[in-house]
Amino acid sequence: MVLGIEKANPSFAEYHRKLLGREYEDFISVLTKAQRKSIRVNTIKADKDKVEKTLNRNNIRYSPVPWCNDALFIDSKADLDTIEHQLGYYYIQNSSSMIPSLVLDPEPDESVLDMCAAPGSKTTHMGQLMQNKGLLVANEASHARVRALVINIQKCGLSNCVVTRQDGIGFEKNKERFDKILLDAPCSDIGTARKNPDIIRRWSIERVRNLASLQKKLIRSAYLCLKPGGVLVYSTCTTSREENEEVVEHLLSRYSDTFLEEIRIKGLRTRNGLSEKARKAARIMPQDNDTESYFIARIRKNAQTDD
Amino acid sequence: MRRQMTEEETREFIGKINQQYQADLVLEGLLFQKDEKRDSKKIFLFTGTHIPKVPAEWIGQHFGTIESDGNVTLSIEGVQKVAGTARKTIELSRDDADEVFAGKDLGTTAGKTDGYYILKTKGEVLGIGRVEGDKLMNQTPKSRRTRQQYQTE
Repeated sequence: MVLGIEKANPSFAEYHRKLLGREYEDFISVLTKAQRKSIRVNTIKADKDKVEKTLNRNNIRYSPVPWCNDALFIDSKADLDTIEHQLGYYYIQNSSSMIPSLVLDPEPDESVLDMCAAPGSKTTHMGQLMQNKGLLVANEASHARVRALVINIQKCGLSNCVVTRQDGIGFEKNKERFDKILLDAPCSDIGTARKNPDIIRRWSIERVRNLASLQKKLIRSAYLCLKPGGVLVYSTCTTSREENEEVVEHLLSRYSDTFLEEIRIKGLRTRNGLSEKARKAARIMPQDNDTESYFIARIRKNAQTDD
Repeated sequence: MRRQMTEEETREFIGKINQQYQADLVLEGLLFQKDEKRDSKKIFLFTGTHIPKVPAEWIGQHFGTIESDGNVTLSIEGVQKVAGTARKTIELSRDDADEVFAGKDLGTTAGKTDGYYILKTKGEVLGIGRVEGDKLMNQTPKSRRTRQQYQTE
């Protein structure tokens, strides 16, 4: 596999050898393994017992996801296209994509923005963490992806949610300000390589740099949409320093009223961010928890602010 | 164009549901109305703390539709809220429920009169169906049928 990847995209291999050092081969070897399937019980409509009964009736084997009480790992060959799925009792979601919502920790009665929301996995997760209360705004720039977002919001039974279709850059021109914001930014998607190996072939440093430039604009807009004292979670499912630590450092250096907060999720092994300034951010390596790669930073805006 | 319904329109809409499905629905939240093709109106339920200052593409959840003939067809989420008190229901077997979610009409309606009914199986609320003669016509939206390709992460 290591050789296969080096042949498929030598610049990807060279970049990640430098980035990961001795861990490069462990990282690559996990990318050859099929991704574990998982679901999240939609607690707005059902409880875990009810969903477990459905799984038992369909002879589907499952086990708990250690870092998310509402989630279950599912036998990879299981057919999850049941009536209960269509009724919105559970949502098929990658176990690592549940982490940003848990880190943001939205509460009932808060106002929350999901800035790049489609297809709605994190939106619907946040909606259930908010117990369908407060206000949740789900924004998606792409017209085509808004449809999937709306279908998932409807299926999960969210009634506290408003969907907007705007470029995230410039979202601050709307007058609404939020207690909490999730910016799960468009990225080079290396985390999804276990599901879609073509991602590795498409990777290039030019693409990474273009995405980093977009991510910096998005994170500035997200910051401007935050209320004083508010929390912004920045996440990507990719590995490059340019799209992760450097984006967070960009925000911290531009706005002196922002600071990083420690991230701890019970049952999940995380690594520190790769730079001193972004050390409190969390890197999730696929070999540590048998998941996708992820990067997550929790940033707070002071109650007294620059903007 | 979506607009917030007045108190009187809201009362009228809930009254229609209660009459049509023999229910005692009490609804918390705001209702919005969007005019659709052929004089039907889609109704949305919004329970957020406030209406945000953003240009909304979609608000709340689709609760139901006032059809051009005056009947109210409920979304699955609408039915899930109404069903607790509704008496105009049809109990299906699990096999029939599978057929309904595959988008098929059912052949037997056990002498029910024509109209819309809430469908249930073993305590689970499935949606609505329309009895027409001796057939139960399928009302499950295409996006909610089994064997669909859906996009998730």
